[in-house]
Amino acid sequence: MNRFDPPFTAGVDVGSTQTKAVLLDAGAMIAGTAIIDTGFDVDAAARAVFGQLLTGIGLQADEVRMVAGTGYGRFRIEFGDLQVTEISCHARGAVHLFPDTRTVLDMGGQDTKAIRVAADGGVIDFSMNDKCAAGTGRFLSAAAAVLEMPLDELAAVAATASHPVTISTTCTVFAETEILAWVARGKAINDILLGAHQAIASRSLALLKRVGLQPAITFTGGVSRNSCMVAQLEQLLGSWVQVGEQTPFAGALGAALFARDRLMGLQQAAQP
Amino acid sequence: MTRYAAGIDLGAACTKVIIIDADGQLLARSLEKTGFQPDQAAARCLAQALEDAGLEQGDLSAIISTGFARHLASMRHRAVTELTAATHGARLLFPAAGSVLDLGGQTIKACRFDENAKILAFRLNEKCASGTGSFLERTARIMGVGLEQVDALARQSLHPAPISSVCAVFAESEIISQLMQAVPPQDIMQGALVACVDRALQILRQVGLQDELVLVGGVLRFATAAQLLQQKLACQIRLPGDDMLQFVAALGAARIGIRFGGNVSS
Repeated sequence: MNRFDPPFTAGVDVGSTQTKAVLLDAGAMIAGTAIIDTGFDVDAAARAVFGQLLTGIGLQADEVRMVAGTGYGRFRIEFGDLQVTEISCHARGAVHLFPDTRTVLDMGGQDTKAIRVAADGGVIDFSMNDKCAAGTGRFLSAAAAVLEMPLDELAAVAATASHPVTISTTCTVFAETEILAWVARGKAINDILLGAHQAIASRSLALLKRVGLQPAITFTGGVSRNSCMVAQLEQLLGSWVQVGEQTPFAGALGAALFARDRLMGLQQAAQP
Repeated sequence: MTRYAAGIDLGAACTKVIIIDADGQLLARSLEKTGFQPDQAAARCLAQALEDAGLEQGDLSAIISTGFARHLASMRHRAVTELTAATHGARLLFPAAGSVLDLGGQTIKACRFDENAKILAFRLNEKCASGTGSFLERTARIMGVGLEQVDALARQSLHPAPISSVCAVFAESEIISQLMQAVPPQDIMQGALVACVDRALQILRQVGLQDELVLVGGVLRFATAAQLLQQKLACQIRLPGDDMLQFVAALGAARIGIRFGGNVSS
């Protein structure tokens, strides 16, 4: 605990699939992170992940001076002292992690966003697919479900493939049928999975091009943990894609930074 | 010698076979799940229909296939598109038919045609499962309701729960959260049917309404779907009886076999 200096601020990001929290210290150092499955009660998930964050670091709730919430779509949560849109949060978080970031690709459980950002983390332009599950993490979880595999094993299996199949359907519902049809035709699971990763990567590329792709590119959201997706994106883009342990937390990190801004602003205003 | 023809409709969900004679009289019909070996499903389904009709495959003057896997039916003499088949089937059942709306397992198709069954305009859902039978199937599965109970359940609804998502995958999440919020199951089921009908109407309107409209496809086994369409459409609606809803394309394919034989390449 001694490594970090108060006052603390936090960000909570309620995603469609997982809820993430980040704790920052006075110097904007990441003091802790927490992640849980969102489930159906988004407010309960926000409270639970915040509780886990505090327990993990051994803090009381009142020691966190400002909390910002962010979340998705119509379920946008009413958690914390302020709320910020997830586009702003991902942009801010990505630039904080990788200051040379100019384009962010955020791939979550139910949506994928491409965001062009300024050096200060401000949003210049963005594009997202929020009406259709194609090209989102949902596509991968559908593939995992029909192949009866754990989601976190997909990347490792796909990486062993040498002759990926082409998944030609866009719709996730139809893709499930197509995946089963490939299985019935005797295609190897790894080739099918690599095909699924490639299908998603190429959809993201279209989204990235819409906002005007500028290096460096930072990949955030839950799917940034997927090493096969990173490799496919790099191959399509012909450039490095920045990812790290903290990129799944970029939204919560951005929220925490906004909370910290607010706290600093109030403290400055309070000084004589 | 009497001529017979078979129509085989290899749909995404089910394979249907119809055998008719030269007068268009129905001799046999058969249905089974398409599965992942459409050619085998077609062969089994045809064998069953032949047995029921008391015929041999050699008695058939034409075997016409249709449906998304029509080119996989190896015994076919000729393949025709689902739209062409449905158009001929609709006109055989309803001589004044002017358009068809087909609500299938994975497709929604609308087409308008003239008195010679020549297609004037058509529209398909193509890339998206929104509003298709597979969406209803998934909804029923999440709710733990058998497909045969869907209609009876939806009928009890007084306040259908609207679904705001277009995407079938997102709609599924929306339905799960409705269930968690204790929205009555009948209202969720009816809401899902309303969503399907609204999507079909969008596609139909792009083609243009034309009397009489024949409704076909497995989704219409849910009588509520047909009622909702009736409420929202001003034109004359025809619904094939005798459980023929899923067989109209197969019937049309067989009809094409009788009228044009099986020798035309396609």
